[in-house]
Formats: sequence, structure tokens, C-alpha cells
Amino acid sequence: MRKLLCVVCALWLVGTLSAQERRVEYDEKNNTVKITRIIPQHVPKHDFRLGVGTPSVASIAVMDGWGDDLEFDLRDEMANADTYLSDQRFTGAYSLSYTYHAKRWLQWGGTVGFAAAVRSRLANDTGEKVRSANQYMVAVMPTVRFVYLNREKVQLYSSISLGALYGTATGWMPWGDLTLFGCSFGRRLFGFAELGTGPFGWGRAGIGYRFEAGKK
Amino acid sequence: MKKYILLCMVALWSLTGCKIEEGGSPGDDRSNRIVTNHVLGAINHMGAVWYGHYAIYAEALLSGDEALCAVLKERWFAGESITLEEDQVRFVSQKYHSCYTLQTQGKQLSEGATWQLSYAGNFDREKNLATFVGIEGQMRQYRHSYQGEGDDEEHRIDLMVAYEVVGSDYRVVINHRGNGRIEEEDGEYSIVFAIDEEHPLRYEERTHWPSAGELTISYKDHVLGKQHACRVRFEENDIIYIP
Repeated sequence: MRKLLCVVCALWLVGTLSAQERRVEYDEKNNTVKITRIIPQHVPKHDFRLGVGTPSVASIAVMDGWGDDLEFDLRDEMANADTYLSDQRFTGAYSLSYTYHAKRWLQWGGTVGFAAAVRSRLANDTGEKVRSANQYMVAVMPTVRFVYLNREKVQLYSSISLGALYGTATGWMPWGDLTLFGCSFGRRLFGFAELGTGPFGWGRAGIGYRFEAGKK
Repeated sequence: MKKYILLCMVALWSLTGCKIEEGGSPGDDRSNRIVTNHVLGAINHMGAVWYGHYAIYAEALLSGDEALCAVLKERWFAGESITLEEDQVRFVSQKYHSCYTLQTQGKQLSEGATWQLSYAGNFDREKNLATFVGIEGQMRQYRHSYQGEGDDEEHRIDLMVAYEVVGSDYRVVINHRGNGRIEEEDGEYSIVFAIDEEHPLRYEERTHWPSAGELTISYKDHVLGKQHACRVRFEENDIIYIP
């Protein structure tokens, strides 16, 4: 943990230094060197992203229920008595987000996400599909992103989203998502990869497009 | 750079479409087993076997069968304090902090008495757990009826209970005859069952699964309009479903 923190701090330090222009002046009279850091003026940008994520505890729980499948429902059991379930597959957690680069270190916007777990009920005797037994999840969350390394082609950031989550097992409920560590690479058209926790998956990646506000 | 981004996307996309739960495999229709378990559960819920032990012991106590009382107390009510009062028999457990009271009015079941079993515990109190109706002149036989609600259902079960004391070790075997009805509280389904007169459900001691007997069950789903009926035969360690 300590080593990871050191690496993050070092990256931040290097990034902040190299991202900034420096004016070096030599004062012959006093035999001193004066270094002036010039922070480039921030230009607000719009940022659109399309991502895909892995399954997570949160997404599985809201689709499958908090152990709700352990509750016995006689009608359901009798209706499904001559069938069996196929394997359940995850489609991926897809997200679409928009953020506004208000400051060099702060972006805000919103994210919508969707995920599904697909499976079928198959007849015992023929193996044919009787009906679908799919479950899905929808998330709608405002997002705030904190950028701690902001270079022209690389950004390192974390983000937090708090909003609402709908699952077939749970209905609507308040929920959040956390990007613990994210990295985007590219200028206008960029890719990103993130590690996080929440309905968008523990691992996410995708592409995005950013452009200056007022321009396209 | 773009190829790298695309490669990452493809790799992650392939990871995301993973199997998260193993499916089942083809098997037999489970309808018979489901309804049978549900009916037996309802009979157990009314305490047909368990509560009957209080009645069987109290009848032995009131009839003065000391040998049977001694064996049953040790086997069923070890550690409990049982007191015979003028109009009731009280079973007190210090270990479980509970008290079962059987209102007997001082009469035996074989004298045509009607008994009420109630329960009082630390945080719970329930009257009329069971009603036992004796039949005058009939030894070791009584009627046990139950009407109540539980698990979003209403149960109405009417049993004729006959018990035997078998062997030198005073094993008690309980036989059930009768019928019952289970209805879902919103009317979504109903179950009607009847125990075969010639083949009563037979319970050895404190089991909840009959070792013999035959049962006819009819299930109806009022929403889907589906019905299912079966006949179940219990044999020692086996169960046979007859369509």
C-alpha cells in the first residue's frame, strides 16, 4: 500500500512539473537562477465516454437479489417444475458518461449504465427454450471526477458517482459508484481504463471524445 | 495508440461476457415432489406429530399408566417438569424457558374430552396451538383439527389420529387419517389433499416424514389455470409417485 502511494505521488509530482511551462531567468548580479512556473490557462472542455465493465458484487446483487432466490415460492416452483435453467452469462456493464472540464482538477457530469445477466428456461424433455429468465440493471448517476495528473495526452483521476440504481430483483434504490484509479490516454479521441467498485464493474475501459467548450 | 485502445477494449469486452452462474441439467418433472413436500410441511406446521406427544403423554398420565409415562417422559420430555393439576397438565422446560399447558378439564380423551394446548415462553404467547377432541369409548384415538394462517397461506386440516404403543421399549407409532386444504391468501393457488383410509400416514416416534401411507394431492394454479394431481405412497426410506 505504501509503495503504491509513493508511485502515485511520484507520478503526480512528475506530471505537475512537466505539465507546466517554466521560465528560467539568470540574475548575473546576484548570481541566482529564478525559475518561474507558468501554469497554462485552463480551457473548459466537454468529455463524452463510452465504456464497458466487468461484473461486480453490486450489479449481480441488484439483478439476482440479496439471496432472494433462497425464498421458496410455491407457484414459481410449480410453474418451473418441468424446466431447468441454462448457464447465466453477463453481457458487460455498459456506460455512457458526459463530464464538463470545469477546472484543471475538477470535472462534473453524469453517467448512465446498463448491464444484463441472460439465461433461459429450457424444457426438461426437449431442451428447447420455454422462456427467458433475463435480469438487468440500469444506473443513473451524477459524476464528479478529480484529476490529479492533467497532461495533454494523459490524465490520472478518481471519480465518485451517487445516484439511483434499478435492478430486476431490487427495484429502484440509491446507490453509488467509485473509480479508485482511472487513466485516460489520448488528446481528443482517447481511451481510458479504470479500477473501481460499484455497478459499472471493478474493471472498466472504453473510448471517449473531448473537445473545447464552444468548439467541436 | 488507436490500435492499443482497440485491443484493450476487445480484451475487456471478452472478459465481461463471462459465465456468472452455472445452469442446471435436464431432470424429471419436480411437480410431485414439490407439492408432496408442501403438504407434509403443512401437516408438520400444525404440529400433528409434535403436539400430539403432549396429548399422548397426558392421556397416559390421566389413565394411570405409570410405566408408559416413565418411558415417554424420559424419551420426549427429559429435563422438563410435568405437573398434573385438577384441570390441566403443565409441561415446563427450564432449558428452553417454555411452558406448554394442556387444558384437560380433568377428563381423558377416551371419555370424550376436548383438550386445548397452549404455549407461553419468554417473548411469545400463543393460545390454542392445537385442539384434541377425544372419542368416548375409543382408546388411543382423537381428532386433531387445525385452522390457521402462515407463510401467506391459510391452512384447514382435519386429522383422525390413532396411536399404538409397540414393543417392550414402548415405541409410539402415530397414524393419521383425514384431509386438508391449503389456500394462498390472495387466491393464487390452492391445494387439496386426502389421506387414504386404508393406508394412513404412519409416523415412527419424532420423525417428520411418514414411513408408510398414501396421500392424494390436487394442486391448482388459479392465475395460470393449471392443475396437477398425484398420488403418493410412502414406504420405508422410499417414496413412490403414482400419476
